[in-house]
Amino acid sequence: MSLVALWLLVAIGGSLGALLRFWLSRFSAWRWGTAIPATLTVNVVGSIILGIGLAISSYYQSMPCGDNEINWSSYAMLELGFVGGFTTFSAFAVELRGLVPTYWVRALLYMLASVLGSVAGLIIGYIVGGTVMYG
Amino acid sequence: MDKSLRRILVLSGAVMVGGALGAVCRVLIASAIHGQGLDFTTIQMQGNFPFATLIVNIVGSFGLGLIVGLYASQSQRSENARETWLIVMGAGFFGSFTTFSAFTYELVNLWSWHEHAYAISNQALVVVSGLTHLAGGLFAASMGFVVAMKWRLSGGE
Repeated sequence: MSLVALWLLVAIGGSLGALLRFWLSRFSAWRWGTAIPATLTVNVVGSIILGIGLAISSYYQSMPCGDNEINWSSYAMLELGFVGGFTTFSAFAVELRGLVPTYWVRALLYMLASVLGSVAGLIIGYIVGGTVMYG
Repeated sequence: MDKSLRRILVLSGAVMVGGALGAVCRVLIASAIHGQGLDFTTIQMQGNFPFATLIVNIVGSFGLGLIVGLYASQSQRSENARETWLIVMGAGFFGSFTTFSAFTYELVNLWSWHEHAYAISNQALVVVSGLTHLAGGLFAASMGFVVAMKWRLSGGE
């Protein structure tokens, strides 16, 4: 797979991730008046998907006839493109900034939930993916 | 075509264009810092502090703060055009440019490294990475709003 094709996969993955995140945050803003539930969900779910993806690619890398072409294209489209574009730090920072002056306890909880939730999500995704692939 | 359906399609297109550009720019920066030129398959994180994600997230937080601040202040353009612009740059570009999953991945990675070039423990590196991200992102987003406000007061668009 050429480098140009890999960059295109990053762009396609990024556009799909951004699209899904955007409509989730629109739904959340319409349903609860704030995009925070969507941003938190997106960041945790994105980390779970990344964990599963990492387990799958580590499985294929460990195979004697591992297909590197498939590995690099799924890395470009799923991990760098889709998950990278799906999860977001800027919306998290801007929402945090909105909470800090008046609701600093909620801001602290949001921060902890985002960081700990996504770290736990990554590890759980990796364990689930590993269990499925390696049995 | 139905007007609201058309609006949904325009917004979806806007967020996809911005999202594609944001993802490409993010990987370009990661590749330039941690890889060899444009070949992002050469990105090597092991043993390095993940500067690319930190830069991308702080710059992106400033950018989104600026865009949201400006959106709140502009009034001369039509409502739909303003919203489309906000979506292309905010939800699309800066949303996709910044990333939470790479931040998380690198936190876990830093924690589990066995050797690195820095004379501090892994746990200290995790704390440094986490705090610079959170404090830096919060500060950058606030600065974005401040700049947008200044811009507005000085009479710029």
